[in-house]
Amino acid sequence: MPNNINLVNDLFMILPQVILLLTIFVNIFVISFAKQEKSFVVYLSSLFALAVASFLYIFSAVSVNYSAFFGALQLNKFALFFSILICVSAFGVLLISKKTLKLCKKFQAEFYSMMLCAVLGSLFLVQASDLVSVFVSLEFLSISTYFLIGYFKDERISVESSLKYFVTSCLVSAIMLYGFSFLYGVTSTTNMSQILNILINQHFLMTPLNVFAFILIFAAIAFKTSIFPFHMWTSDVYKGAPVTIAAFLSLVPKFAGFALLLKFLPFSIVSVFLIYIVSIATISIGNLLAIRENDLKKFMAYSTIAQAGFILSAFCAYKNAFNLSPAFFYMLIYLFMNLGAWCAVEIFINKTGFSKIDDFSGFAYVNPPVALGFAVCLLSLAGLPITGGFWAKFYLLKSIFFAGEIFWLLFVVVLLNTILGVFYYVKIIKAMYVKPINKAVIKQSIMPFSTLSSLILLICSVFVLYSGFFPQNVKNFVDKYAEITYSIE
Amino acid sequence: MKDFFVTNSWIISFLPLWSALLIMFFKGLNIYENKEITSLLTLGASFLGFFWSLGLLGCCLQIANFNYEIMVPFLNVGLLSLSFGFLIDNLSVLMLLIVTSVSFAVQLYSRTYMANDKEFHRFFVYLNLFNFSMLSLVMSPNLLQMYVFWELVGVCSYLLIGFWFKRPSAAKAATKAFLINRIGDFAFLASICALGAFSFWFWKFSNVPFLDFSALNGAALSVLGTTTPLVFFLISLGFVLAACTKSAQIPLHVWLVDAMEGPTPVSALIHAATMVAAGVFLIARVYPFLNYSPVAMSIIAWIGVLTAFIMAVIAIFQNDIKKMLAFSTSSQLGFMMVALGVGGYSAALFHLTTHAYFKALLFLCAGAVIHSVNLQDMRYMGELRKSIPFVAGCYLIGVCAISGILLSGFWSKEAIFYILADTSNFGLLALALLSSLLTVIYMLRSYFMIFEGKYNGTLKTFHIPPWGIKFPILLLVMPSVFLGWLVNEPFKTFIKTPLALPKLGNYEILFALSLIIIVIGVLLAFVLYYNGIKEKIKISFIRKFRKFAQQGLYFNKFYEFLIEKLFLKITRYAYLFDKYLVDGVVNFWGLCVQVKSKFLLFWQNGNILSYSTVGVAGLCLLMVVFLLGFSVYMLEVWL
Amino acid sequence: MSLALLAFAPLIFSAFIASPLMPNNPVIIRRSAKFFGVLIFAYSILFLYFFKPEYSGYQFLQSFQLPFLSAFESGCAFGLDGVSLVLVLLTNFIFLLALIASKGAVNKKHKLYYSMFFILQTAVLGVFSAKDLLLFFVFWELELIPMYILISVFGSGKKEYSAMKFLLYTFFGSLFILGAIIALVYFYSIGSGVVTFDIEQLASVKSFEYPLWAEILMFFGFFVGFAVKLPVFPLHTWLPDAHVDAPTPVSMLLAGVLLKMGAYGLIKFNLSFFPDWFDLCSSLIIILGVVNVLYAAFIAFAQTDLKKLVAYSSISHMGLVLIGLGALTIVSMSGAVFQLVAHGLVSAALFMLVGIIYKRTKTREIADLGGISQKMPVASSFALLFVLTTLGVPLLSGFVAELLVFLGAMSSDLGVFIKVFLIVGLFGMILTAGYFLVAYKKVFWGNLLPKYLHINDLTAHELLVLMCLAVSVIFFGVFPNTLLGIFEGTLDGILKLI
Repeated sequence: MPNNINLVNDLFMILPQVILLLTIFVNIFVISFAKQEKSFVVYLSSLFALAVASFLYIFSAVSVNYSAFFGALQLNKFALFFSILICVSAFGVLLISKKTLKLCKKFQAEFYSMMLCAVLGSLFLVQASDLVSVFVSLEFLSISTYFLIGYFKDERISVESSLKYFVTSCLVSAIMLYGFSFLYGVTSTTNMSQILNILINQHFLMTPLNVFAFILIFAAIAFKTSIFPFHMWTSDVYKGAPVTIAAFLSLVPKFAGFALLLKFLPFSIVSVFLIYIVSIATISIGNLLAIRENDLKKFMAYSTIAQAGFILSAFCAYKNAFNLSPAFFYMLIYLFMNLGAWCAVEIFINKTGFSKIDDFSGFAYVNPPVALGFAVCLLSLAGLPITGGFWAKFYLLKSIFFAGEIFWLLFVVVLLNTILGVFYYVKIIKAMYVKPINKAVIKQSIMPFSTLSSLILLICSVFVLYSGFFPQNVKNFVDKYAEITYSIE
Repeated sequence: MKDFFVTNSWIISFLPLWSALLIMFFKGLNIYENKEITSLLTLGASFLGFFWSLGLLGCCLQIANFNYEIMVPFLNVGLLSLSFGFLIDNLSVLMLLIVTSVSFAVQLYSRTYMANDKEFHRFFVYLNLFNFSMLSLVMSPNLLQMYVFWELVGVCSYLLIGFWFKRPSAAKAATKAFLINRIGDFAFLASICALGAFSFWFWKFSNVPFLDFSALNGAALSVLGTTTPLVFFLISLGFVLAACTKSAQIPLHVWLVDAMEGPTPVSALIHAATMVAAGVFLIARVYPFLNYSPVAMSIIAWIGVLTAFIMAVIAIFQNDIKKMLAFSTSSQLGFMMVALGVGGYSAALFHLTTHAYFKALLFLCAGAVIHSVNLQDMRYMGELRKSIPFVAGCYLIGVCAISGILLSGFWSKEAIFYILADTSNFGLLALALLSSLLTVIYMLRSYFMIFEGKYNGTLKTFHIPPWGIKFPILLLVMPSVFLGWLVNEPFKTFIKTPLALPKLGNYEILFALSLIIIVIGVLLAFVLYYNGIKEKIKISFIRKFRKFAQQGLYFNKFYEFLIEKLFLKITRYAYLFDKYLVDGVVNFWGLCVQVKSKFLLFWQNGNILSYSTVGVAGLCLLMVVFLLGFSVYMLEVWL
Repeated sequence: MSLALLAFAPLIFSAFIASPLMPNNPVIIRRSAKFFGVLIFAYSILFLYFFKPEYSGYQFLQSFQLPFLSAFESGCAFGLDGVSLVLVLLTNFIFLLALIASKGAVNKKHKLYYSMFFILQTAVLGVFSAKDLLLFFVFWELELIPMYILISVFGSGKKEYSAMKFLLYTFFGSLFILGAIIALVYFYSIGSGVVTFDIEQLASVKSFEYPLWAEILMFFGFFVGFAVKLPVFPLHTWLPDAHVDAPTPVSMLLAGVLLKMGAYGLIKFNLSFFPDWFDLCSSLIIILGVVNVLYAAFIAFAQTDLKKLVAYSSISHMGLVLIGLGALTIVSMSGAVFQLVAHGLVSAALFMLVGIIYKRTKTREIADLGGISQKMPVASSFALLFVLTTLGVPLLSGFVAELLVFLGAMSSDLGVFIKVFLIVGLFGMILTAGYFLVAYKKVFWGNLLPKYLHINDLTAHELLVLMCLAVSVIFFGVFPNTLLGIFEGTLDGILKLI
């Protein structure tokens, strides 16, 4: 246990967070004293801060393993990876949210600040290594998210979904705290590496209490990553939230949640089996729900449930030689394919005001480039070649199979579920390419579509294709981070 | 010179192919309207072929047991090597002569007969293709090549029967003919495959080209050595079945009558003289093999004699001239079969030879008659001897020949009776003799109905056949008259029975019997039919039988029933099975998923309370599962 | 001679056609597509020229050092053996003809059509030339979406349903393949300590070295996957729907090329990886083949739709391939591979003809057609030629395949029961003749219906396509050795494994 504090070093370690924090302060200052028109400055500065943070994370030394603030935070390889994912996806979401915000015409600057707050919370959560810091950063993330979801406060549905998210989140936080209390009760410490140490050394891993605690803590993870059994809010909240916030929800909190899961995985021997069961349930439920869904945002919500299930199943194999690489690979590809898909959804919804899959009819002949990009991202989500999604799924399946005979049931379930995935993702492609052109959509699409969103879509689809053609390059990048390190003393 | 004829004998069959291709090529140029060139090419090919065959005949007569083969590889896979080639021996030379000469006459005839048809060139293309296939068939050195051209003559026959495809009846007849022949092809191919497979190593070790006729004897022994006699019998049965379909034997004869939908020259050439004889030819070729299966041989004999008899009975009641002739063809082929079945190899082929000429003659005459009165129903003819005496005379010669009234048919049939008596098959002999009597009756009946009695038609003026039609008929009259006397004795040495020759006893009584039968037949025919058909006999049994026989003993009806009521129904049920059960299972899974999806969506009701409940309940469920599992695990550890 | 270039050239062309560089002018797009098609075909001819048939292993080996399409211990490796070379040539030939045939059949969204078309070609060429299991699978899956688009956008009838059924069914099959691939690599790695996807390396393991149950599962995994594609009863129901609702050129491709992928997989994987299992299951495979032949023929009798009839006949003919492979003699297997080519040519031609008839009469119902031979003599002659080829009339390519399959199967060392069953399978030749000739008679012969008085005969490009197919059908029927010689060595090598 570190008993001295080197403030400079510690602050240097959380430099990206510091930058984000400063940007938030500056932004709030600007908002308070400047006029509405200055929101562009806020926008730019937020972007800049996120860019710098991403840059710092991407280019920081990989082999870092640093514990700071009396062990409250710990920066290690996998935390670094999640930080990169979070910053990059937040950067992307921020870029595509400009158009959405134009629709409501006010308080734009606050939006950016709140998003930065959520990112900040996620980053702290990813790096937290103390039960207290975990809880605090989780709440930090959640509270910013309530605000973001209910951002269109004039719209009833937006506020309603914010409330739903809030209520569920509170419930889940309480459950998690309950779980924490067990851990603390057993070990009398809040430092996670110490807890782990004690659990292992004193054979607490084998007690029912431990199982109990882990499942309680798992509730929070399930909520953040919208997996079974806390997946049900997803469709309602995504439907009510602004498009870009839905995109945000499908990325940043999810990554944070998975990071949390990784932290707690060693805390119980049942964890792998729990994930096993939960991932089977999640994939199946997500896929089955998505099959009949016609609302675009709800559809994306169910799709993210299924995708989260896939990622979760990749964690099953973490103990073996293949460690975290497949899960990380999947997450990286997921970031881009999901973001790309949301870009297309954003473009479509904001351009036409329609939000049903059927309204996509003939979209490929109205706007070929966007449709093509969307199609690429959807194919990747479905796991068809030659896209990154195919390799991600293949890598996932391979590692599950190689993990041992116990996991072969999961293997079969994942395999079978990909059929459902192909069915519903191709349904959108069918709407875009096969159905006759929807005249109403053309009439409605008076607004010019956001070039920024298209750009992000382009980048995402190019990356998806690139990772399809050169999966080894992506894998090499991921492999650098794919190692879990606990400092057990 | 001799070598030149023999080594280039393949040209006999390739000449028609080349002329077919040339005609097609010229026609393809779309500038070609000249019918003369077409017929000249065709006739030239046949004539040259005939000439060439004569040269080969010379060789064969000079050298006893002449045998020459040329081989070209067709395909090689692994140890299997199949080849095409040409075999020149007495049998093939005989067949070559028959085919080329009859085709020459028929083609000459067609030149006039088809002159006004728009599709003149197509007709000759088909005819040439047929000649190519038929000639290659008779020159085949091995079973495989025989099968190949066996099917190709079938295809040509299909094309020619369906030549006037605008007529639905012709289209139907062509399809039917091909399909029934297909049964024979199936049997043939199955037998070839089985024979080849069971004697595969024999061919390899004996170093004879695969499936070659020259070593069938050894192959038969090898098959017998590797499998059971039952399998051997089945293989033989395949050959028998194949021969029966091609040669229109019972019960697969039904296609031949319908095949009369084709132009009359086609009926003369293909469905009387040459192609239908291929079945007999096949049996003759695989004789060394079949000889090891006495049961198969007797099956051939019995099928043959039954066909000869039953077809003759049916022929008596036919009113359509061509159909009558078709049944007669079937019946005559039955004679050949019965001879083969008892080992009368030479007699069968002799009858084949004579039959080719007189049956072609009859058909060509029938064509001339049809040409002049424009219909085929004999009931509306009569008294035609006065308007077309030439045709009447030639037809009468044909009738005499086929009935065995001292012209060529007499000698060949006599040979068959001899062999039957010689092998003591008296049952067969009796039936054969009876059939012979019936032959006299139905042939004379047709002659009387057409040429004698009173004219029953409506036509005032008759189309008098030109020389283009008369001359080919005349060409065929000659062999019909003289062939029997001339080659009766030399034939026995020319075509020898490959295996143990039955010793020919002296059966004067048979000779006398045949003569008596002829006399009885002629008298009966005179009494019954000289003045048109006597409808006086009103006994209901006979009337019923007449109807029964006119319908060809309802073989057709029976098959139609089998196919339409049984087979097609089964296929329809199979389709329903496929559509609703096999495919239904597939779609059922889709439905299941949809239902599950609906069930899950039902819970997505937007109610936060139920969401939380599900969440907490799920969590509790997980806890229960794990705590239970955990306790079980602990229990196991503890125990 | 770069195989990768051959496989990826269509993909590049596809990108080129889809890109804004290509003007949106149907004529230009069509002509340049044809030009590309000719280029690819010509290039593949070169491979034939340099191919050494006496050598049974892979030739023209090529693998990438770049991390291109390779990860997870797999490599981007290409290679051709005799069987794949034949199929590559067939693919390029049929694709070229389908391109020519597209002129009348496709008259909208040309960019989409031709770009999908070329992606499909890449997928098929990749399947046939991949030397790496994973690469093979990538191409195998790549085929799905272009085909889906081609059927669902350009098809007719219940095209969306059929396309989706095709997609899901084929994907379902490919999941089995994926599972088997992963399992195979896993067990290989357990045995040898090396994780590899290289086909040659994996095939070098003798059978029965893996756990028994795993071998059974893997064998049937591969088998089911390829059986869906081939298709084998009862996994065939996607085929009639997909074939019927696809546009003419796509039906040509489906029947002419894509079905062959299943048979190729059976030879390449089931047979090379598990020769002993294949040997053990040979009776089962033959029985399946016979059932396929007869069952599909039976159903074809009940069809009223001309295209469906041809589709079911395809299934029936693929049964022959199964029989040939199941018998495991060099003769029967050569017959099976020969049948792939023969059926590829003839089914393409038959679908083309159905398309030609449909274009003119606007119907495919046999009952609504009649006597059109009077207006289309050339088309009807071609139709007859191809119908006769399917029936297995000698001196046409279908016969050689049939003869070799049955002769080879009869001479294999199977039991008497199976041999009797084979003869029952041969009965299919009568059934095939039955439904085809009756349909031919009803469509082309008989009285011309008055509503078809205006229809006209073949156009130049239709004539060209049919002529090419007719010439090749006759050529391979008369000179089968030209084709057999290419793949005999390869099959010999495979059979030595047993």
